[in-house]
Amino acid sequence: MSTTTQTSDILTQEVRQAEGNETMQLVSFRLAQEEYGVEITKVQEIILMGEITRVPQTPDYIKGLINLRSTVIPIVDLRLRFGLAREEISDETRIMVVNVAGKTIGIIVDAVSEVLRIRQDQIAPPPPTVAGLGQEYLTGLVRLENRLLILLDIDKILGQEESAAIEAATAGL
Amino acid sequence: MSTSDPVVHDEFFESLLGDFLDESGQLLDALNDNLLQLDDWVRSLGENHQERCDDGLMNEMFRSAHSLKGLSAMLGLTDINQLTHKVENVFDAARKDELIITSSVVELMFQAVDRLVGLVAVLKDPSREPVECESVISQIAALLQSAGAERQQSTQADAERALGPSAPEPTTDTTSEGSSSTDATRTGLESEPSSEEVDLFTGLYNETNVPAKYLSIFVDETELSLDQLTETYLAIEDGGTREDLESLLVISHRIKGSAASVGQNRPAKLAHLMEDLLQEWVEKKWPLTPEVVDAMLRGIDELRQCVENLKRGGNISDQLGQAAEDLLKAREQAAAAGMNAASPGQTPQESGSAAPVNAEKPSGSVEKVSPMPEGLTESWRRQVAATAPPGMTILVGAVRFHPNLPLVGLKGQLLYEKLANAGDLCGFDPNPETLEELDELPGVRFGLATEKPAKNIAGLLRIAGVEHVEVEPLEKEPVVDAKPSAPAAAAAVKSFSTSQPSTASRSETRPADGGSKPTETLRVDIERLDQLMNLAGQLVINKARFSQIGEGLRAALSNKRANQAFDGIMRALNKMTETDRVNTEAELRIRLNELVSQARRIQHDLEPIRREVLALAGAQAAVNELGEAIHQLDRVTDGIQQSVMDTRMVPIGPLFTRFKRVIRDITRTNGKAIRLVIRGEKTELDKRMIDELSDPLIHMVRNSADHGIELPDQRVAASKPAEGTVTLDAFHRGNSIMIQVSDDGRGLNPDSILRKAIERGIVTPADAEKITPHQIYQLIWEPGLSTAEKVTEVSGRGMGMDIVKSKIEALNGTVDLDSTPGKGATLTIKLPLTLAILPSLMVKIDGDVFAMPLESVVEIVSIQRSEAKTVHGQWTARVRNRIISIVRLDEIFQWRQNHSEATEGSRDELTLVIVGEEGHEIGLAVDVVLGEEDVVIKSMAENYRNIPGIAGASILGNGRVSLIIDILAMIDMASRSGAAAMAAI
Repeated sequence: MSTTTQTSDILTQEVRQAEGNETMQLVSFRLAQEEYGVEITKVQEIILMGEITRVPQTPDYIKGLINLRSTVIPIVDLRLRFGLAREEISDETRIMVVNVAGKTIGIIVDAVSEVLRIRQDQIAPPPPTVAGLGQEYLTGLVRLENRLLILLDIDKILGQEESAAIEAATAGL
Repeated sequence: MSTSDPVVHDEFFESLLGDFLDESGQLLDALNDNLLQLDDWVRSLGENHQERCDDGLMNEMFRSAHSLKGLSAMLGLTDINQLTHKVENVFDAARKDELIITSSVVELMFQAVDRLVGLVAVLKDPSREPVECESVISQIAALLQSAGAERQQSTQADAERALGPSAPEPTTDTTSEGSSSTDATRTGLESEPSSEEVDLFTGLYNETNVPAKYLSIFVDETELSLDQLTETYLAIEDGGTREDLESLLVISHRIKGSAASVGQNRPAKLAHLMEDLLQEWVEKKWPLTPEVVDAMLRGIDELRQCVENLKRGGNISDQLGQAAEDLLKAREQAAAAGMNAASPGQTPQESGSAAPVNAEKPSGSVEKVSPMPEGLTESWRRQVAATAPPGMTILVGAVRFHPNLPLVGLKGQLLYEKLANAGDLCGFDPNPETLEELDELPGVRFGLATEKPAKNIAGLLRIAGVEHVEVEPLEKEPVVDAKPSAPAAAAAVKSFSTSQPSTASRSETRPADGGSKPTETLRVDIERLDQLMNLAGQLVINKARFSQIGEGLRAALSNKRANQAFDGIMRALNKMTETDRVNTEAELRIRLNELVSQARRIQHDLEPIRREVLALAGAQAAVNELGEAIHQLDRVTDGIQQSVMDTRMVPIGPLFTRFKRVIRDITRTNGKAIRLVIRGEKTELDKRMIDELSDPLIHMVRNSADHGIELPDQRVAASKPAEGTVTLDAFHRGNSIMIQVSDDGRGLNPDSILRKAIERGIVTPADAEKITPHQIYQLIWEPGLSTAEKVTEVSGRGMGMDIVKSKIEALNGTVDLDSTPGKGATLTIKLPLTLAILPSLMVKIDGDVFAMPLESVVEIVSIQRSEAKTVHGQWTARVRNRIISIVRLDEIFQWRQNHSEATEGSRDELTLVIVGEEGHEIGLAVDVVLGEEDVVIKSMAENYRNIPGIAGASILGNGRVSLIIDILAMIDMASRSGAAAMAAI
């Protein structure tokens, strides 16, 4: 992924048909007053919150399992994953179903905002420190007209912690 | 014109490959089994014997190898083909007394079969290591050489051709000699006596393992052909026309071809003889005397008898020899009556004999064209041009197959279909309808009206087994053919000696190159499919009933008018109850009139309500019917579930039989005497389970045979029979299938296991204090714990017991080990009946619904809270004189408590679901038992990961996910956390 920092034209939400491979589409969502973006190719669908079956021996941020048209998928509470405060479920709360590393998982977000198209040169590398967010989920920042979008590496959502948890769980047997 | 596109892999090929994998597995199993018998026999004789081994066995093995050879050749699997060819030669030599079967021969054959198994495995999974088989091939060649029995040719078809008195059709002799592609040259066999008369049938056997589907095609077609033959013979008894004779020839040839293609070599032989004689008659213009016709009819009767026998599944009657004798006698008479009696061996063998038949009917009924297209001749161009639609680009082409390509008719059929899809066929030779029956076909030719360029069409035709493809546009004004219009065979030699080397094209046909796995196939009993079809039919009827009920309900409940009427009544009542002050009598009268009219209106409005209430009664009936329909649906879905499961079920016997070989190899290497006892081979398992079980079982059997069974002298010293026994058993128990591997060997030593486990830190010394022997045995499933004192060649490598366990667990099964030191050990695999559906007990624990496998549930009891007592901090209850420890899920899972406190406190009774096996039972505290349900197991690892203590997830009727408790893991976890106090109760 390109990490050029050159300043660029400000892209409005009106998508500009830029030349060839330079653009990418993002789904943006809100989480604790911040705006995040995920590559649209990773997003399968967006669904309403439903009943989640909790699962034992999983990290806090694994809220449990849901039935997505006869497939059982895990639900990650992104707030807890990022160490943010818990929030009551609102009318805007959504589950974003994403495909990561061959698996389908749902992530709980405060609200889904829009689909937008950006150019690669709008992406700036992440600053050395971002409050409340571990570096590893982060691929960059996207400058928009009057706001900043945090580009998320959704593949890392289940993360090393979880792989470690898997090992710990099997080792415990 | 001939482009060098790579061989096209198409869906047809893929499906054939699936069939091949299925078929070859069975054939190799059979071969292995027979080899074991042979091995026993050889060993019983000792070295340097001169005995001739059992013919039946040899023939069976020959046929297995032969079938495998044919199948592999059809798919262009060169490696398998070459190896099976060699194997076949060995068996052939043995049954012809040219080779003595010694133990080294058997050993070599075992190696060859192993290589074949490996080659087939590579086909299934192209990522595997390629198998080297050159060494085995050369060893076999050396063996045959030394036995003086080196022969390149031994297929039934070839033998038939060589033994036969004459071959009326142009054989591909010239081509095979000219081509490097055939490993077959006809040396040594040409000199075989051709004057035998009645002995024609010795050494000819019908193949028995021909798939029934092909046989039934053969039976149908041959019956028809025989009818035609009889009819024609009867019609021409008084001397028929030349055309009649030719049609007789064609039909006889067809019978011969189709019989040979399904391995009915004896009937094929007779048909061949009949065809030869007819040919002679046509050649020599002898009159068909009644004697000859009689003999022919007798032959037809015999053939019919064969077909009948086949239909009934019986053995072929052996009157064929008699019929052949009659035929030959009739020929002799005719020859004597005729002018120069020519011996059958001298009948012209060149292509000329059949070609005239062909040439004289260039554009007549295609039916009678002999299946010997001659390449792109001028006459063919003309024929295509005559039938071609005007104004289209016409391509003419010819395809030449590898000589001696098995099932060539099917290949021809495939080409025909491909061409038909690519454009409008305006000519195809031979007749596509007879293609499938042909067993000899040098090639096909065609005319095609298509938009596509010739190059594309040529690429399309380049399938496995095709030697040469020629496609060119047809000039409307036929140009002079540049090619010499010499006999077809000569042209063929020329064309493929200049075409690409066939070895190159062969290596390209390896399906492994595709990198994709072939589709798996499963043979399903047609009865099971019929049953499923029947159920599907019921489901359709059921659906119709539902929509009918739905209509009825909708009609009954459409009470729009009632609402209106109600409104009207309410208005009227309101008016009636208006309390206007009434002063005068006149006013009173008016009021009264008003009341009456309102009452009438009410009366009027009540009528539709009454009618709709009546309709509602109809709705009640519909609801009743709905209940019934749901009940029906219930039964049908159960039936479908069962039937679909049944289609996947295959007996475990073949899997078990494979272990005879494993045991034999082990006894060979370690000098032990071991008997394998197989029981319950009819037990049926899900096909996928059988596939998955193979590896773990091999490991378990090796362990038993290698580590379990002692050396003979040790056994005798322990006053056990010198021969050890390994038993494989499979049986149903409840809703599970149990598979046991047991041995009567030395058993496991619990002390050494425990010592090792402590060494490796798997068990803490503190835990070791209170561990039971059974628990110790289960430690062998831990990674890195091998109890073997020495690692042997056989069982020291490969997967560890921990992998065995995880493999079994992946099938939702469990594995258990029990042992009595000195007496032996038993490994028990317990598998669910099916991979997908689990009969479960549904319970609610702390507000969440869980499923637990019904098979693990022993009983459900309700105890008073006061009856629960702590023993060393562990809550226990006394249930029917057993002490059961009470386990709470939230404790085991160390779950954060949400809401259980309130519910817990208010209840005096405790419901316990007692789960586990005898002696390892625990009582799981639940809020409430909801009932039994068949749940569909959904993998959690698919999108997340496996969680200890949870066997999977399932989806409830309301769409929510519920977890399935892994009882064994839970018991395990409970015993680990046993010391922890369960203070919550």
